Amino acid sequence: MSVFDEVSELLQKGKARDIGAVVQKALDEGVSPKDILTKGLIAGMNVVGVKFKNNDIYVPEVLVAARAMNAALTILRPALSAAGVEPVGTAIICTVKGDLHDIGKNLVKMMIEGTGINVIDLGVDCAPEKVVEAVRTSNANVVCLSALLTTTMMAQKDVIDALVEAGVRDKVKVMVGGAPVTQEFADQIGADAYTSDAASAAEVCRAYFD
Amino acid sequence: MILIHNKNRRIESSDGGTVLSALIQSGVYVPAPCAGLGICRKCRVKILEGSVRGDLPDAAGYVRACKAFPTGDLVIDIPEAAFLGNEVDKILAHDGRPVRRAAVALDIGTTTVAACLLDADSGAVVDTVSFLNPQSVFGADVMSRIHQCGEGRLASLCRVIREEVDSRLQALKRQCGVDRIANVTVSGNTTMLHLFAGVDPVCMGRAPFTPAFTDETVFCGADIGISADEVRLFPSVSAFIGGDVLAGIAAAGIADDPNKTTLLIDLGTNGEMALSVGGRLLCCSTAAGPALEGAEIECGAGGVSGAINGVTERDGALKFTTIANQPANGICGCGLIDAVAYMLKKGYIDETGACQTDAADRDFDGERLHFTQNVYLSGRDVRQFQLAKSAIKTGIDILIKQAGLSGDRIDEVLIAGGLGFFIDKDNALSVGLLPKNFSQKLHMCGNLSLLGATKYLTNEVTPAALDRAKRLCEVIDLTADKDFSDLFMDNMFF
Ligand code: B12
Repeated sequence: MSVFDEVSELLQKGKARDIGAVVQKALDEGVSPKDILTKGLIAGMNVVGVKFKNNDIYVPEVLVAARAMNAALTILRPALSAAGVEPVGTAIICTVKGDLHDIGKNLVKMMIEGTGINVIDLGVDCAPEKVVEAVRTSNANVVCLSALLTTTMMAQKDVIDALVEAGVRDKVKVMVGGAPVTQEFADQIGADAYTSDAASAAEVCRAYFD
Repeated sequence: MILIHNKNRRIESSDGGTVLSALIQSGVYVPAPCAGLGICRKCRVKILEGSVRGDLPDAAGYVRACKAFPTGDLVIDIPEAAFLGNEVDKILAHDGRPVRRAAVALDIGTTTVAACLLDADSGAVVDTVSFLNPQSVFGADVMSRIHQCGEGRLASLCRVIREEVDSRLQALKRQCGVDRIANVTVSGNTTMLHLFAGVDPVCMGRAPFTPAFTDETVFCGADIGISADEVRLFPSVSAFIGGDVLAGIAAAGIADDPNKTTLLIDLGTNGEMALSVGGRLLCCSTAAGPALEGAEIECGAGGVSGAINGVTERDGALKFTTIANQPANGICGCGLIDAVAYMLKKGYIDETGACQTDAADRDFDGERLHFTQNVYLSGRDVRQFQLAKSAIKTGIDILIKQAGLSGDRIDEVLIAGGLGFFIDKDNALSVGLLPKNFSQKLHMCGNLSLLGATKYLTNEVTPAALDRAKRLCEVIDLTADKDFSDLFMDNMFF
């Protein structure tokens, strides 16, 4: 098995501890950090995404895989920047004002990171002004909004309105999601995209950077 | 104009409104658990003649009433199982002795309302009745109802529940030969109490989830259109620990003995629980979701006749029972627990909840467990169930942890809620809805909220006891507990 397959496999199994050691060893042996990222981690995360969409695996398995991804990235990141490998781009994510659910948001965040995008996480109960501020001060191209309550869905619209008001709506694509959100609702509030699961969210988000 | 063919009823279609809004306006109530978001597909009606825009009819001619706008006159059929009506009504026989002065205990649940009529002079129970909460057309769960209030529908939500309660009270009065209802006590979750009181609940719709009132509230019946002298609403603790929880705590007396450790669990959409230990009373709301009430499940159903309520294996084959032995038309909460336990036992799903395509056989096609051609449990349904059961189990784990206990130290576990009575204990344990070490401690208690309201009328539960429970309650914020997510993930497995 190639070292890339090994990394991919460990990621899929969610072996956060083992994957760090394997990545470190590969780096020590002079393997290109970019290849470890794309052929190992991102490839592995792709498999996870497909299985998740097919309902073969569920939230807990995706979460442990994502944690393994994080563990690997912690070790890989310095090597990546030393080699001049830049992230594909930047996205902003948060749970909207009034809502404290963050499991879905975290999953989306990790799946997006799994495509090589840098994600700024503004946390939960996030006011529209905070998002506007982050769009202004970062070079993010995508804003992802999560809402789990029927009562906080409308807060996604508040963010879009705030972006328009601040004159930065054109700078970013806005993606919305969360259990009560639908494509119809997304269209209604003028979002650019909606997906029902984290794997598709990562795909759509990644496509914005092509 | 819309003709409801199988009810032989004509209704006006509202100007520019959906089929659902026309039905609601004419008092034809069909369930709409997702409150018109278009997700749950429970409000589907069959178009026999005419056409709609907004939703395409499926192969069998069904459209979602909440998304379909009539483009002219329509003829429709409403699936029998969908009528919110007399199906759950049950009126116990009473001995026919006239009651001069009655008192009524009322439990306003988000889905079902239960009422118990007592002889105010003797304290004897005369009659009990339950009926569906007509607010269901505004959404299945409290958040949807709160959302509707944000859209200006507080007055409607308040009106439909008061009218329904009053008409049921009048019917009870007639049936029991009662002259006068002296007092009514009302228990229910905090949102239901707000809506019944006509108080805007919107601040409970988003963090920090602040109720407009939590104190005991008394109305003069005439002021709120209820045929009783006095109507008394139970106090609540917080937005998600309501009067129903307090009623349960008081009815079961779980806080009475500081030397006994008792856990009370309401197996409903909000999954409230309270743990009494060493003079403390820890409680939380686990937000399990409506899967156990049939929503979010493709062929899910409430406790209506024809709903599958028990699943077993006999001679190697799938066997099931339905409510009232009617032909199967859906799966209710107990049926869901049994069905998942069955799938596990047969190896159709593994311990992660994934369908095992190679285990396919006569009943299981690799993705769905088929009961009949149209009623099945899908792999996605299993996932919804995993979220719900994990939320309950995780709430239990966290209460026990925060109390510094181990599960073995609990003396008694009381299961409240309509589901409680009918649940198969072994299956509830085998799917991990409840911890395995609870097996010898479980007591099914039925509707403790109604019992609390009834005991209040007979002075077995006093205002002082309610007040004491209210002050004793420590509400545990699950969002703030760092272990929640990890435990929630672990508990999703079987
Ligand atoms: C876990 C949970 C909680 C936990 C939250 C822990 C946490 N840190 O997040 C706790 C117990 C604290 C909680 C509390 C409450 N909850 Co809660 N909770 C749930 C539960 C059980 C699961 C939600 C979840 O995590 N799902 C798993 C994740 C992975 O799914 P997801 O979030 O939908 O995300 C997926 C997609 O939607 C998508 N996605 C998500 N975000 C985004 C964003 C973008 C941009 C895109 C593209 C995609 C996307 O990708 C994800 C993965 O595929 C649901 C019930 C259920 N059975 O679903 C209720 C539920 C969401 N909660 C509910 C409620 C009402 C509450 C409370 C307000 C009240 C209560 N206690 O009952 C409180 C307070 C909430 C708060 N503090 O904000 C209700 C909402 C009802 C409604 N119609 O609005 C639900 C449905 C349960 C119910 N009672 O009916 N809850």
